[in-house]
Amino acid sequence: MPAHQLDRVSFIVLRHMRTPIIVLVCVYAVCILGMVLVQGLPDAQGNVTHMSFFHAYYFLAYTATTTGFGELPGEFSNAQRMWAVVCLYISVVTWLYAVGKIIGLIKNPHLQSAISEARFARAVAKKKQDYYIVCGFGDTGSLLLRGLDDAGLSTVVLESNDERIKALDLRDYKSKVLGLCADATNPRFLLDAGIENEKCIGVLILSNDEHANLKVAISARVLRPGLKIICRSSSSENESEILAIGGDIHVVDPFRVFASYLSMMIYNPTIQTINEWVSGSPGAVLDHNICPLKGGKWILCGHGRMGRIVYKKLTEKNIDVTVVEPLVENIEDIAEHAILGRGNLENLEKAGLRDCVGLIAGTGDDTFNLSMIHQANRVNPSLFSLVRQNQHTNEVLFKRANVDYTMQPSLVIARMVLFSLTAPLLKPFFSHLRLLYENEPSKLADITNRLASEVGGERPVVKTYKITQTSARAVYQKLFQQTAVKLGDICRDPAIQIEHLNLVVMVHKRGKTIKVMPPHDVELMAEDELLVCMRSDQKVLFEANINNHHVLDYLLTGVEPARGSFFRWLEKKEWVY
Amino acid sequence: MNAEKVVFSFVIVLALTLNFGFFMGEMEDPTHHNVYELFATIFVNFLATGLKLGDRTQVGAVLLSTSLVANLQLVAAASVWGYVEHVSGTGLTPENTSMMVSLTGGALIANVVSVVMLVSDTLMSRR
Repeated sequence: MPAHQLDRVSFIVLRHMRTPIIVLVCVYAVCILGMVLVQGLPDAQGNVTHMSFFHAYYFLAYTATTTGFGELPGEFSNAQRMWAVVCLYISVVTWLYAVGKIIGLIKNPHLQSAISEARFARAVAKKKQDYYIVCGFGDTGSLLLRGLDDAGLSTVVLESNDERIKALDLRDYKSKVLGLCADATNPRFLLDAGIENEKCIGVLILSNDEHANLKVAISARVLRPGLKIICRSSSSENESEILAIGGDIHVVDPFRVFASYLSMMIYNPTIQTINEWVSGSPGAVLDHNICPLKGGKWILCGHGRMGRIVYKKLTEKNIDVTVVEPLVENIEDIAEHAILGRGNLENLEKAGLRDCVGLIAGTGDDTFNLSMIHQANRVNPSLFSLVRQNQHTNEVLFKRANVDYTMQPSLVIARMVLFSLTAPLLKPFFSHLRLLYENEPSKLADITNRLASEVGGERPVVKTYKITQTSARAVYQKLFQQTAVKLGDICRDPAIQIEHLNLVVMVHKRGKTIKVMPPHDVELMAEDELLVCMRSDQKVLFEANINNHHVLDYLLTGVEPARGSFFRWLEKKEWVY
Repeated sequence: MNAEKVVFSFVIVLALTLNFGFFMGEMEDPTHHNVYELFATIFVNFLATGLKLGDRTQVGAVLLSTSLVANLQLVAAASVWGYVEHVSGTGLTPENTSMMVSLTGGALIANVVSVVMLVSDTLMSRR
């Protein structure tokens, strides 16, 4: 693909250099010819001499570039000196003109963008790994990129803001992330980002601009009909249009996702705690729920696009919520449960601040949210406060403020996209948990306890493994040899075979059948997928279990097999006493 | 008719004619090959290269490459002449002269290709 780009760069350069080159050639020709024609000093015999072409060229070479070695190869006649003055002025001026043109050309922003585009396209075409194209490197984009990088997935970035691309260059990612400052709505840049390349396995469209997202999604679908697309969209009309594109396409609505997270936190704290723990949020542990309260009165500040969904979800679960909202048109439909006005102390007290259990500061303004919590905490210190953090840059303030839990929409979305890419099996896991919560809450507690006792701690590693030739070599070989391998076997501790590693297999998937929390006696088959949750120090052990056939042999039999040929011979030999 | 076409064709044809003029004559006889004519040939060829820069068409690319070949050959010829005159001091012996002239002969072929392409392109355009 970069061929037309290189062509464009060389075309711009040549087109701009044409006039300076022609002028230089003409000036050199005139000066050299003049120098040769003008009579020099007579030689010893009194004959008229002329400078040769070679010497004239030499003279001009050092004069035109203002080096000025003097009168070489011999003394000049006055006629030659006169012509030398003419040569000097016109050739020096011409050189300055040509150099000025070159510098102007280098500084030309169009040329620079063409060069960086050509470089980007070439680097993308050389990529050996599978990669995702990320359109939009804002808060969400950068958090997602960090997560993808940690998971070892490769990305290329298109972002229209120059400053953000510069920031991308300065990030300490494990592998270099290629970025181009370009408007992704122009399909040419999608082609540069290698969308037609076999190695491109998905497009993640995350910018704030609804219309641009739609256009990028459509162009991506037209350019690569089978490609996976994940698109951010916060309006339902846009969403249906995006979904109408068809194929493997997912829409992420930041307001809806965030609102359901927030309301789950209150009405279903157990699942949300597992969610936070799996996501590796700092401080999230399974021992206690993040939000320990159930029932009681809540105050919700902000009833905009997001607040509306939170309110709806909470009232559906019969939680008493009072809304504080400054815009009258936003609370017309729920006037009896709402206080009109900004979230200051007076209005919060009207909403019942003194006897409520929790406060959700959910406006789109970080300053409001912070000051609200600050004031409310002085009146009711036992209050549980949930705050929405809009700008990633305000992180420090929110950490220092006396807030029980902070939620960032950009982080929530980034996490959701990340999990749908790295651990798609988490989705059935959580739907199963929700089902249990409705029907058999005791089983949910069992799962939490199992996760807490067998994995526990903070920041577990959640990873999908597929039983294939490359990703689980030893298991695959055993299955190929018709040896049965049970799920429990690969979870054993390679140090003591009867013990198990600190890990939990959350989901087992075979074809379309999905089993959540599979028992240890499940017999594995090739192409099975496993979602494993483990402590980070156990990951290397588990991967050795499924990849190293010596380790797996030991796990299956409990006997360390002989490895050297002599001992193998010794073992095979039947001793006759 | 436009001025750019006139100048362009003029320079390209002039490059060929000058080159031919210099090449004409006994290969080994230095008196048949004038230094000013070589100078003019080189100048006009460089000028032609400059005019051919920045053309995006296929024909433009081939025209530019023929011009670059001609330049290379002519500069080589001039270098040979300069070397034998000023560095080795042997002057234009028959061997040196024939070497120098045959180099310009190569440039002549390149210029012929260039003019043929120019003419055929003009005929193809049918205007």
